[in-house]
Amino acid sequence: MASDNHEFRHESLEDRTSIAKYLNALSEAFANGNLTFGHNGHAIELEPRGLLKFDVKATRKRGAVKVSIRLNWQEDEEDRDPSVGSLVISTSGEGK
Amino acid sequence: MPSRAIQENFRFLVLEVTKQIESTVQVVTTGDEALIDSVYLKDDYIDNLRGFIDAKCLTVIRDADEGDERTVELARAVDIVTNNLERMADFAVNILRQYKYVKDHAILRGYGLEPLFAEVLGALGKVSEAIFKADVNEALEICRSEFNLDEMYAERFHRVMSELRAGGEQVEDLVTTLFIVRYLERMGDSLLNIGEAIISLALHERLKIHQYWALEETLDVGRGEAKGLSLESIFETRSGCRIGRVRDHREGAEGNLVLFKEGQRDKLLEERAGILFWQERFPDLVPKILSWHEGEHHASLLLEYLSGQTFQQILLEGTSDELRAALQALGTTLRAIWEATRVDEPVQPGFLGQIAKRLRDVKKVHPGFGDDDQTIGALRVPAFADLLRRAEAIEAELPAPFSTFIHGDFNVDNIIFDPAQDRLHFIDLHRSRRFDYVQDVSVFMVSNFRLPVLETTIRRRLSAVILAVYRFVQTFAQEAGDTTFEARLTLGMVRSFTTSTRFVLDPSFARAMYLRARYLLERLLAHEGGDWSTFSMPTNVLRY
Repeated sequence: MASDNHEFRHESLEDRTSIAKYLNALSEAFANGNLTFGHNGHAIELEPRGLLKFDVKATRKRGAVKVSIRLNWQEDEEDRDPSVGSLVISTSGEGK
Repeated sequence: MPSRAIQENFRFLVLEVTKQIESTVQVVTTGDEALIDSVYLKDDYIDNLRGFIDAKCLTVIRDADEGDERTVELARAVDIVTNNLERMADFAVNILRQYKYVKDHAILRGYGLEPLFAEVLGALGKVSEAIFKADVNEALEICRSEFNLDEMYAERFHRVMSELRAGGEQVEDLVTTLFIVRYLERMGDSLLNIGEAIISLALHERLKIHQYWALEETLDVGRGEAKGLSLESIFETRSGCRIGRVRDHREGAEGNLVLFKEGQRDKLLEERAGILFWQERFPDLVPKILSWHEGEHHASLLLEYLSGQTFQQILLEGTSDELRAALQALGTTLRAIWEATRVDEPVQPGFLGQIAKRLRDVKKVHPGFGDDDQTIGALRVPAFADLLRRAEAIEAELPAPFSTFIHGDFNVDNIIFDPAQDRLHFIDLHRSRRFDYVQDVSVFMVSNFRLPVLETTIRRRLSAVILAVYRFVQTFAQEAGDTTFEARLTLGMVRSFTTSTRFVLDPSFARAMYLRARYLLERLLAHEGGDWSTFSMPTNVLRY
């Protein structure tokens, strides 16, 4: 698991044909469950699991158009903090 | 204690109001009109007296040391009583104003007003003692005079009406008489306010007289014998019942705490039926009914007070050991109930129908929920309401294979754990019945989830409890051969996540719950046509 506090950012100019390879790359990465963003020998490796919060927003204001796609998720708490104990109800016997 | 000045002026006020009313009786019964002017003149003085006491009381309330609630309560009661006394003096003046219009005094005297005045004066004589000694019994007597006055008024009212119907030349005098009697009846209203203010003071609680009497009747004590009972706290429930905690110091009662519930008759009948439902087979699980009293619309119930903490309190404030113990007791209790009451006949929980019934209330709080169909490119995103309709066919093929006793409203605050005895109790049993046990499980899980707490350690606790209960019930279901458990639990969770949003006002938290309901429903629909014994509920929705 990658350590915390990493950041990656990419910016480029594309057209509606050239954008497809980026969207496909993201789509495949989610399907594989492994998403790697690299730069200068550093990489953020993400393994989307559990619930993904998916947020699409489209706005058009006087010709200025924006489509934002946002994905959030929580990594497993136990992975980040192994001290989190889990609770168990014993079903073994009659109890008391 | 309010200052001497307040006490002295208050006693003065009572005396002056009493004199005003005595003078009024004198005028009305003997025709001694010389007194009328002196009553008018006194009225300003009484107004000033009231203003003085009013101001002093407000100062006392404002300047009271923190924690000195007794002084504040007394000042408040004195203030309420003062204002009602002044109103009574005004009514006396109004009676005399009416008196001037009477032409034939024999008609007025024929109506026998003395007993009404006597009732008012008798009650007035008790006011000073009652308030400064905070004496409930005296206060009750004051309250009762309002009921006596009402009766006397009603009698005279009907007589005036029938005489008016008979016609004749006395119409004006009859109407005037009615006005005068009506002012005496209104004095009764003021006396009731006075009595109630003193009872509230004596019991440290705001209490209406009919609730106090319900308490008396339920406790089966005679008039004025409620001494030795003290009300420790009172609060209102969502269903409009009022609950009080009463300590019983009477002989033989050893200061036991009892729980007093008063409210709509129908609600309390359900509550009582729920308790009786459990009583026979699990007598220690539910509170004992000590007494029941039923009126036309209201009812009251006296219950054994169960010591311990609610599961919710333990979740939010308990130590890890306390939580572990409570959780284990929960598991042991549920398993015992389910095994002992299992009847192998299919039962249809109808979770989707439960959503449909409450969706309107959900939309009142969150208007966007339900009708949210969208398209993204070629993809059509159906509305939640459509998904619910599509799931009906699935639910129809998923009855529970057996029924058990269920609590019916299995929220974390309806479970009490007594660590001293390592024992669990159920309260609020108005929906207890034989049903699918999954109903209680899903309600319990979501009642943990929806607690409006964001603090990380508590959220982790909630997640751990929800997951532990899920795994525990999963094991039970496997052993019990309940092959559709996961699918039904998923429907139950959809139901509870959706309907609980009506109690969640934080829009982003409510949305998190709603989106979970949607997600679960879509996973269920994706499995349509498959073997339901291979379906498992995604557990990632259980954490926030």
